[in-house]
Amino acid sequence: MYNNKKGDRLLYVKKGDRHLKEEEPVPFFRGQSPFSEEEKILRRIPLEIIVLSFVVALGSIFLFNPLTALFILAGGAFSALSFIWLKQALTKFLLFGKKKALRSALALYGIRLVLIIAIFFIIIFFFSRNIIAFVAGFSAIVPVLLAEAVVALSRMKQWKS
Amino acid sequence: MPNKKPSKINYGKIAAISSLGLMLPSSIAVGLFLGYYLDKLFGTRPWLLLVFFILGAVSGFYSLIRGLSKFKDV
Repeated sequence: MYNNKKGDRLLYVKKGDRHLKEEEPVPFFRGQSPFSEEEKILRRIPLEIIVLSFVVALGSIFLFNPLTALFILAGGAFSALSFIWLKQALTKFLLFGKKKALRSALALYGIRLVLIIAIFFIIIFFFSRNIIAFVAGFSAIVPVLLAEAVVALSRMKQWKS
Repeated sequence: MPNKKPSKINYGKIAAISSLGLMLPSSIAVGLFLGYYLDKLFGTRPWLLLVFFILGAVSGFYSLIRGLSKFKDV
């Protein structure tokens, strides 16, 4: 019977519990503790890059055209992906020996550089007018890291005083 | 009143990763912007753009390698 107040509340809680269990978050960087403050900051950066490029893309729909917005968003996504790759490579570099890890990191970055060059070449040859939009999205990492640095500095000041 | 100190964060590690993360995108961006405007100036589209993009990517990759070799000391 659902006309009972207590019963209604119980049903709602049960539904809520089941819903939460279904959408349990998966750790962003596998094999690492998601609880340390450094990990939280490093996990936040790619999301912030995507959010910033999305906001810029949204603004550019009104100022320019939807294709420009799409390129800004794609550049931001590519930048976030680059940061995730870099973070994973550095984690490997810190876990294993220096020589072995440096070699594997260089191999990874060689492949990554080829991929970056290929994507940029495609854009330069087929959408040369939108290359600036893609680079604007790709450089979204710069203001995000600057903002994180400012936040970190303000926290350090608070802790010392 | 208990003195609540926030847990000490290793900002050195974050700064090192951030500076490494900035190297490649910033070099590519500078190369591309330079190439784009030089192309516009001289009407050589897209050759100077390509040349400066490759220069930017190679210099970014080189500085990344140098940064990685120093990273262990952080």
